[in-house]
Amino acid sequence: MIKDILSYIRKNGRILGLSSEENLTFIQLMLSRGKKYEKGRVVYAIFGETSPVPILYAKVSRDPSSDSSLESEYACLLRLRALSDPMIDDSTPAPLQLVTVADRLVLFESPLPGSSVVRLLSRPIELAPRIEDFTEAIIKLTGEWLSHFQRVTACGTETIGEHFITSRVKPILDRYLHYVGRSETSEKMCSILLSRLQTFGGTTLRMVMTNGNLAPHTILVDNQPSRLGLPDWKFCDTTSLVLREHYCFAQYMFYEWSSRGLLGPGDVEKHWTQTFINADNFLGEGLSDFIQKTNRSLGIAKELEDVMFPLFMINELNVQMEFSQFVPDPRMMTEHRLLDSWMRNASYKC
Amino acid sequence: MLCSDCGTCYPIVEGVPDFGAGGEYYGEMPQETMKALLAEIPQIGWKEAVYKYLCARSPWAYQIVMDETRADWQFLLSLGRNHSVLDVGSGWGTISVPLSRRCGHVVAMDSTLERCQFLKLRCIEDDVYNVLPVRANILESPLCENQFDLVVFNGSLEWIGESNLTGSPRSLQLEALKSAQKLCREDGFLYIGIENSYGSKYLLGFPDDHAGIKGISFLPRGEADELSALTRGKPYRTYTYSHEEYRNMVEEAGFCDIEFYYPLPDYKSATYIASLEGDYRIPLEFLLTHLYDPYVLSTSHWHGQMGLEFWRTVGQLERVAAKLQVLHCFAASFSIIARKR
Repeated sequence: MIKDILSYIRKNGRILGLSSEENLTFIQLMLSRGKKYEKGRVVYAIFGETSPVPILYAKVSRDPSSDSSLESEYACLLRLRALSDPMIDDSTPAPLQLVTVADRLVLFESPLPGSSVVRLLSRPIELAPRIEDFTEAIIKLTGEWLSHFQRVTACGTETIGEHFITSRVKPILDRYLHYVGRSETSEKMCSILLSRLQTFGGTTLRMVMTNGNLAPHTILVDNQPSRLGLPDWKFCDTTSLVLREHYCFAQYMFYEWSSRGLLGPGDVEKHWTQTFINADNFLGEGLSDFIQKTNRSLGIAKELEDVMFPLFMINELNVQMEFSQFVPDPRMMTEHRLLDSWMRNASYKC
Repeated sequence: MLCSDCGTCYPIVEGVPDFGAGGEYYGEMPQETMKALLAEIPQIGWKEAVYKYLCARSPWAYQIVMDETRADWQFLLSLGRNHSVLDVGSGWGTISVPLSRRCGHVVAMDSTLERCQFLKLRCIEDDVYNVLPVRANILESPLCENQFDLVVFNGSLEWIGESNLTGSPRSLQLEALKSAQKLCREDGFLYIGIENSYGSKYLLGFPDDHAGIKGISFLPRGEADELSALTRGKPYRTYTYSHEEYRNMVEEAGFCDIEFYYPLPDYKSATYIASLEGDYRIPLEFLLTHLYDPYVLSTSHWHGQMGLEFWRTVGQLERVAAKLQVLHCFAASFSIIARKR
């Protein structure tokens, strides 16, 4: 497959924005790992003879039945380019071409500079900045980018009401009940969340574009960090129920920081309580402010946030459940306990 | 089952053609446990059964069974529905099943009957109809020559010496490759996923993946034998080689156009694959500077045997080796692709 792709690039260099014919080399990246294999992609970073960084990226779905995700990513990137916004252009890949090569759909994109946030976390101690400073800088950079992104991609509003609940919220709760089973506890929790949400009937939420997988391992930054890039847009969507964005970033940042021992001694549940319930560690302080600011700009009041966050966690459990093809795994079990913990501590205790 | 060529009759054991591979049961769990796992698959499904019997016992083996990215090297090749593949040492089917999504037909060969039976049940459950598990030994292949477009040895060539204790491991490995060459069609391909005996991680003290002994892969074979006998009471027969030695062996077996790739961190759980042909300095320096993450390795099931500092050192050494264009000598393992001569 890669030889066909390289040969295509050589023949069509101009269409792809390459100035001269070069000897091309590549790295095959298999980043979307895991058990739900067939939904993932293989990504090729293409190198020329002189530049020390890739000159192009090519994405191929592992299974042709998932080619529609390449089409939707291409459409999303075209929409983002159409905004003609320098900050968005700087942080997202330019969609160069979606084309069939050797009977397979290939998406060509421009490269983005930087290393992933988690890669920078692994720097030797002598090269790394103070973790509190790095944390603050990453949250600030992401917060500024997200705020700008949501402002420029805003496209109307949606009011919380019967339609919103039926089309956006109920499917998440139904999937959850289907996966975990309809126990008294799970049904009670879903019913509490639904009735709480109904009390916000008439509230207007902003409709915005979402990346759909905002997390430290999906964000590229420079060493400062002062510049952010998001190379993966396969989960891009336009919605008023923004879950896998600021909440996702916060939750996955927590996992990375906690697993690397950056939150001090203690287990994951203790750290999570400190971060998301008490906000009494450096990560929690930063994330709490980041989440509240993002929610405010989306039209989500503090009280509504107390419903949105567990809804995100339930949706995340659904994602985990589907990802693991319904075989339990340790992450899922932890997330279940964290959800219980939130519900026990929420103002509307379960 | 009757061979139309020679007239020999072979039994079919629970749906698996049994060509009498000989040798002992091989697996990540005792034979009785494997049988119990097989017995439960019809009730709870293969994924749940593997989780139940393997996850706690061996998280690394569980990952190998469940994570199909292990087969992502296939995208180095142009494969399609008109291609047929032989997967030698197919084990749990982690290579055969992903290959079946792109290819016309996959013959999954393993010398352990229970593994073939597992794959049979897995395929039935997942509606995979173009994988045929067979119990056979590549050294006594019952299959017709010139029929496969690709023959795969992913983590199996090094074990050939263990499947037959007579003869030197190298000559048995060469014999297996020659057999693969005969089974290949004209212009058919060979794929090998295997460790580099001089991989920098082994030179720095990571235990050999097969014998579990530090420093054994690059010792003179006689000394390796003595060390193995002293440490675990059996000879060392899971031979791995250097870049040059593999090239010579594959050539000797009748293949040409040999290409080496570096699967990182190794061919068993590669997240990245880069070519080791031509001038590879730019892509590999980029890979080892911007993508290689020592923390991920130090916390993964298999590589977690060594700590963060170890993987940092390995990464730094490999970056220097890439810059000097000698990484092909020290890569931890190889993906090797060659064409039938």
